[in-house]
Amino acid sequence: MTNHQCEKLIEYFNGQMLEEEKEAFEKHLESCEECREELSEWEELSADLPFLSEAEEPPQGMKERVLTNVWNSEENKENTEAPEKEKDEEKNHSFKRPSPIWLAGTAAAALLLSLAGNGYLLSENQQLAEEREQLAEEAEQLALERDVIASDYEALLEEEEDGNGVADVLLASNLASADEALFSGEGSATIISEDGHVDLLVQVSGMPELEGEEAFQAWIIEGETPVSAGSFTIDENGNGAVRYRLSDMEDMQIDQIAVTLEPQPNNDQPEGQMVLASPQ
Amino acid sequence: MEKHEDVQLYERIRAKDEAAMEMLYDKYAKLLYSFAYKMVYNAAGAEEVVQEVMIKLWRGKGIYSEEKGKFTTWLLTITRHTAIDYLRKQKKTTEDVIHQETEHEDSQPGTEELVEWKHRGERVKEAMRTLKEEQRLIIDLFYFKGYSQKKIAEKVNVPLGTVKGRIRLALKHLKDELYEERRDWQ
Repeated sequence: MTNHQCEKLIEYFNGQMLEEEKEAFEKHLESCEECREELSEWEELSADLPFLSEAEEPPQGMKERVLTNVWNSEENKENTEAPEKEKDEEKNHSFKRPSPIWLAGTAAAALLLSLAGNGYLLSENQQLAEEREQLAEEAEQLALERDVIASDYEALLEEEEDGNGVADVLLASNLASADEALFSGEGSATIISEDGHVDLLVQVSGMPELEGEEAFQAWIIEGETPVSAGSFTIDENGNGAVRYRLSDMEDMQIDQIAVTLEPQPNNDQPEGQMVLASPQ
Repeated sequence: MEKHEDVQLYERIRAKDEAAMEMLYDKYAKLLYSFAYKMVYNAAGAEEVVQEVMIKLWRGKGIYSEEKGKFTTWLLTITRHTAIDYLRKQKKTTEDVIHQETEHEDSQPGTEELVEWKHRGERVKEAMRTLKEEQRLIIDLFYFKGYSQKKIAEKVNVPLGTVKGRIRLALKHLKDELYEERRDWQ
């Protein structure tokens, strides 16, 4: 029995897990009767709670909007995701790739039913679809955040038209805790251009206390390769920041920004655990 | 009987039957919207959550089977997780408030489901009143806000190690109270 997994039951119950954690926990569930029982107890104990909601009148036109988006989601799926789905199918089965028409409509349901005997494959397919959706959502969220910051910035520019040396925000992203149960803290990564330089600014707050030589270190991740963006410590309130000159880098391909907790400052490669990260 | 009807609808949706999807929407939109509203506390957000849930259903994300229990319960769980996701995304911009329970007059009792729901709601609310203030808060933070144990510990100011036990105790208390009532009621 993995005690470590058993402790995560509540996170699972509240849907607070990343995809891979969720997958690991579901695997654990299969072998841990105690957790299965406890989970169904939680489900039973909370089954009446939704009924505490007061009856609310849905806004006008909601049905039309929602259903339109439901139908559209299907079109998008067929246009953009069908090839990927086919790939999934192909990976799992040796038979030739089915035509998209075969996948849509009743036949798809039949296919799913025939797979039902093999729960693993089924949940793997589902997992992939979920991950795809999550990534799309995160990208959308990031775009939204960028728009918000851009418009804030424009407003700021208007106020400060006389000022000089204004930094231009190129990209901004939130850094969220990699595991809320283990680490507190949040932060932001902002890429600004000022006086012909491009800088990355990583700011954090609410971080857990450091011990001994420990330091936080920011990383720019290109593909699989992390590049150090500098070490920093925090004040007694858990606030800290580091600035890194991106324009000195040979190329500035950035896939993700992350913050790790390192045993000592200025490592070449991360040794410690990732505490904060931007959405991938 | 009712369960069977839902399962049939669900199966038709899996077979991409648009009429079935619309029927399911008509049947559950108000319940899911009200539940989502209680969690995210704004109309646009609640609509977004319901839409997300409907899209998940239509696209066959998350699979229901009868051994997972009642269809409604399953649907509500998906809605709750979707709402928690929504709240977590919002959290970055807004500081959340603990919403007071507002009692408002019900507009019009609609379908059978709505009547049953209202009825059940009354009983749960009754049972909630027997809990201590702190227990009600813990249930709200845990179930409706999707807070982690750590955040609950901070908000309620209790040791982290005791949070899980406290949630469980509060829920158990509530359940006992409900069963007590149910016995009277039946």
